[in-house]
Amino acid sequence: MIVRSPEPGGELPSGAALRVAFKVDPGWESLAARLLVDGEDVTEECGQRIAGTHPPSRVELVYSPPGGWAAGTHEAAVVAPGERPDRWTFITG
Amino acid sequence: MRRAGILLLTLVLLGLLSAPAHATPPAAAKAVGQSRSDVVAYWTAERMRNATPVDAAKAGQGPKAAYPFTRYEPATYNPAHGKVFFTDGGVNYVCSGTALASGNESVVWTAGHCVNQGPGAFYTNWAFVPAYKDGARPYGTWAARALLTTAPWRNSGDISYDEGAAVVSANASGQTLTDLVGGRGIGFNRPAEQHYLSHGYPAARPFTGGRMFICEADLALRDTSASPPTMGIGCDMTGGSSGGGWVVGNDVLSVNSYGYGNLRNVLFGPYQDGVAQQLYASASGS
Repeated sequence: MIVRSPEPGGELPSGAALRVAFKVDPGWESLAARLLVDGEDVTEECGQRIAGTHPPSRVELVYSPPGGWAAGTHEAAVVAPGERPDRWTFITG
Repeated sequence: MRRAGILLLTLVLLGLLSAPAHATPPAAAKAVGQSRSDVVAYWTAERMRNATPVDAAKAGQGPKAAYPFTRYEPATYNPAHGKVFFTDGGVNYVCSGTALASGNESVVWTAGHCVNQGPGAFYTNWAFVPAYKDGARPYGTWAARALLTTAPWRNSGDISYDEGAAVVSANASGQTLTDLVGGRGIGFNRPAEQHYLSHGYPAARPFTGGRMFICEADLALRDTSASPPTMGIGCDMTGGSSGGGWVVGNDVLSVNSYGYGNLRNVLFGPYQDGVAQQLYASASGS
């Protein structure tokens, strides 16, 4: 993982998107990692931005709840197979 | 189509609530610690070929695409456009780029992620090959002596500022880049609604990376999940096209940056504002 925006403990404006970017291997075809927000798997609701290098180099998940972020502290977690979950919290509104 | 619709709705929803635009921080730059001859020697014909798959794609249109476009290989290659080669973490990558008219006659405009990890290190073995075609290098190989990107890309990988530049060394004859190949102009803060000619060297299947292609398309949408919103056009170019210039008239107004995994045949590029202008000024003065 190369980007966590906001970073741990950081503040996210109520309308902004949570971003998590990964550096991927040259043979990358699909993202195995899942993004959880407040314990819910939101991976399928994320936009998945793929940088246009060849071979692939970078993928970014972008997430914002349809109704916007509820004010308060939220927990994000990236869960990748065979690895310990990477968890952090951020603040909105 | 339904998935694309859901994605677009999501993008709009994200954008309606998006944060205000950044101020204009300075560009980030790094002098390249490699000699011109070392970089040129690194990019053998074999290494260039090995970065590309074998299947070929033909010129085509996007009648089934949500956003119309026409893609074709130009009959004559404008040598201001070319293919970019670099190394990161021991892996050789390809992108695309555009030679720009500038004070030092040596600026190549591309995507931020074609020069820097965002955030992270700048790349090595960075070279630009104008009008590259199936391994031929009619204007030679131009090694970077400095790489630059915007501060938002360098610091946080902000996709809205995925713009990069290289300043290349003179060739062995002492000629500057644009002295030999000419250069496009560049525009900032122009209206986003334009008819774009997006240039690139797509290398991921079904393309080979050996040929230049142009996607012609009107602005199709804005990705308002980015702030400021990026611009989207219909185009089916694949990986390797990143960094290729979006030309209007003679000016580059954006570069190929990214696509969405579940939105086929749409390419996004940054809206060039004052941050890009500062990057260009820094590169021109390097």
